[in-house]
Amino acid sequence: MRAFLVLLIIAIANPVWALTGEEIAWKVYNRPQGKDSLAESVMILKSASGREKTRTMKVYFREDQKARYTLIRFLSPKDIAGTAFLSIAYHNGDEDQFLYLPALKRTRRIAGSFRFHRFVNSDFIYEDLERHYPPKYHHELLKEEPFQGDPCYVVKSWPKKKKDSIYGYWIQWITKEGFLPVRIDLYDRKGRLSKRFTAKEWKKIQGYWTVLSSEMEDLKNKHKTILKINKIVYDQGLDPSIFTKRSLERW
Amino acid sequence: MVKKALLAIILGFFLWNSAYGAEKFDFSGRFFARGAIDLKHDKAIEDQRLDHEKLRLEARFSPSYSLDIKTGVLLDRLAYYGNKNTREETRVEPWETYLRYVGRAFELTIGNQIIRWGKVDELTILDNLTRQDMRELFTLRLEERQRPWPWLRLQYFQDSFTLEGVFTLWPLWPERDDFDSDWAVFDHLRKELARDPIFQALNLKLKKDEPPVGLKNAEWGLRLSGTNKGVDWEVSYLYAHDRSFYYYVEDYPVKGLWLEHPAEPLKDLRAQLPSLNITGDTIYVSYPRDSIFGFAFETTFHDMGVRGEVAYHTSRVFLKKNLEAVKKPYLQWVIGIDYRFESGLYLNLQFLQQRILGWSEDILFDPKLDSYIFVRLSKSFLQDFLEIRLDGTYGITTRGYFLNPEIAYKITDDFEIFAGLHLIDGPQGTFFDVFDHNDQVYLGLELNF
Repeated sequence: MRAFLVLLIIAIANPVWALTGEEIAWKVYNRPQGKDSLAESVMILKSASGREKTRTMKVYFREDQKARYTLIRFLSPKDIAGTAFLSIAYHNGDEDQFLYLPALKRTRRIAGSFRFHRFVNSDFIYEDLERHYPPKYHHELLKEEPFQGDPCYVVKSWPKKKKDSIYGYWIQWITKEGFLPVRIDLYDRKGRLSKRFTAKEWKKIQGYWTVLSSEMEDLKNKHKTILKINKIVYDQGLDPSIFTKRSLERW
Repeated sequence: MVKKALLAIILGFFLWNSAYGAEKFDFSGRFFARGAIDLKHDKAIEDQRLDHEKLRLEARFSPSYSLDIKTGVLLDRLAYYGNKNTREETRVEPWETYLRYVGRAFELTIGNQIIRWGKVDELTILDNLTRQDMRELFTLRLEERQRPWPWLRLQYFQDSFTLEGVFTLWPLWPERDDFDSDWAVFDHLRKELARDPIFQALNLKLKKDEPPVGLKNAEWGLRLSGTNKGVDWEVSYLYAHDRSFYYYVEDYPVKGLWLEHPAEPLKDLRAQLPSLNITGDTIYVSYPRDSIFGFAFETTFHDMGVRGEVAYHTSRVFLKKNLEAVKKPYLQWVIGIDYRFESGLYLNLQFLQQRILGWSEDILFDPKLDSYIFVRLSKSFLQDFLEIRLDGTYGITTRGYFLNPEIAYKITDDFEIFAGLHLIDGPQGTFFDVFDHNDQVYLGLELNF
C-alpha cells in the first residue's frame, strides 16, 4: 500500500513518467505549432557524388478547431516555380491534399495512392509530410535515451493496415521536452533500414519547438535532402483565405 | 492593331523593368524545340519532317496584395519540309498579359489569360476558354496546345461556393491549318486533286468568314463551383462559337460528291466523276454559335483520383459526306481515374463517349455514338530524372488509334531532352486513317529559365 502511494505521488508529480507509445504518438500529433506560421525554407538535394540542387519555398501553416492547414509554394527552380501543395489535415485523421500545376493552370486533388511518391524529386515522399493519425498505427515505447544531448523517447510505430504506409515500421527519437521527432529510422516492409531523418538543429522560437535544419537520407542510394528554415514567424495572424484553392491558384 | 499595341506595351514593360527596379519583378522564360521526321516516306505529297520552336518570356509583378500584373510574349516558329514544298511560319504574339485586382471576396482579371474549366486531364471537354493550337492536331499535349485569350473574368468567392463570370469581345475558335501541311484539314484532298490532270484546274481556296470583334459576336459564360464532402464540383454555361475540329462549310464547290472513304478522296472522286459538278474553287466556311452546358466533378475513391465531365452542346458542327457541314446537338461525357502504384508506375485512364443527337447517315466521320479510351502510363527512374511514358488514344467505335511513347531525361532541373514516336492508324474512312501517313519519330528539348 505504501509502495502504491509512493508510485501514485510520483505519477502525479511527473505525469509523463508512465507514457505509453500511443500516448507519446498523440503528444507528437497534438504538439503545439502555433496558431499559424510562415517559413522561408530551402531544400537541397544532394546526390552521392555531391552534386547539389536547390529549391526555395515558402511554407504557410495554420491550425483551427477543424484542421491543420499547410500550403507550400515553390519559388525556384524555374521548372517548378509556382507549383503549390495544399494539405488540410483534419483532426479526425482525414486529409485532403491538392496540387496546383501552373503550366496547366489546374488544381488537382491528390489521391491516396500518391502518398508513396517522391515529393518534388526529393527523398521525402508525400507520406513523410503527412500528420500521422495515431489510431491508424501501432506504437511501442522501446526505451529512453538521449539524442544529441536531449533526453528522448524511442518509439516504434507500424501501420495497422498495409495501405496506410509504404514502410514496414519506423523508430522515432522524440524529445521529452516539446515532443519533437528529431530522428526517424524508416524500415521497408522487408525490415531493411531504408531512410533516416535527422534533425540537425532545433530550438524554441516564440515558445514553439522548431526544427530549423534537418536531412532525410536515402541509405540505399546515398542521396540526401537537406531542409533548412531561414526564417520563421509564428502567430502573426495569417488570413485563413491563404489556405484555400483560391490562394493556391493565385500565381 | 490591338495585337500590335499589346506587343508594344509588353516590350516597353520589359525594357522599363530592365532599367528600373528589376529586383521587384519575377522574370521567367521557356524554350521548347521539337524536330520530327516521318517514319515512312511513302507519298510525294507528304511532308517528310517538321520542326517547331517556341520561346516564351514572362514577367510578373505584384506591387500590393490586391494587385497582380503579368505580361508575356511568345515567339513561335513552325516549319514543314516536304519533297517539293517547304513552309515556314514565324509569329510573335502576346502570352499571358493581364491585370488582376484582388478584393476580399472577389477577383477581377482583365487581359490575355489562360482559364481552365473542367476537371478531367487530357480528354477534357469543358476546357473551352483557351485557344487551341491544332496545327499539329492531337500530337501536342494539352499544355502545349493552349494559348491565352483576352477575357474579362470576375470571380466571387464565398465559403461554400465560387461564382465566376467571363466575357470577351474576341470570338474564339481553334486554330488549325487548312492546306500545306500533313495535319491540315483539307490538305490531303487538295494535294491529291492537284496531282491528277483531271483536277489540276481546280485550285481549292478557303474563304473564312471570320466574325469581327464586337458585342454581336461576344462570348460569355458563367460557372458555379464548390466542394461538398470531399467532392469538388462545377456547373457551367458558355455561349461561344463552335469549338469543333471541323469547319462549318457553308458551300463546297464540288457538287455531287459523296465521300465514303475520305482517306482515298481521289479514288472516290474518280468514281463519281461523271456525276460531279464543279461550281467554283472556293470553300466558304463560317463559325456558328454554340451553347455549352457543363458539369464536372473531382474526388478520390479508394486511393484513386476520380474525375468526370458532362457537356451538352446545343449546336455543333459535323462534316457531311459531300464535305459540306451540318449542325447537330451533341452530348459528351468523360470519366477518368488515376492511380500511382507503389512501384512508382502512374496510370491515368479516361473514357469518353459522345452522342450526336439527331444523327443522320450523311455525316462523314462521326458515328451516332462514339467512344474513346485515353491511357497515360509513366514511370520515373534515377531520382525522377529519367521518365518513360506512353500516351494512347483508342477509338472503340472506329477502331483507330494514336500512340505516343516517349522517353525524357532531365540534364538539370531546368533542362530536359526527350524523344518519342507518334503512331497513328485506323480502318479506312475513319478520322485516324486520314492521318495514318504521318507516323513520326521526334527529338526535342525544353529549357526553363
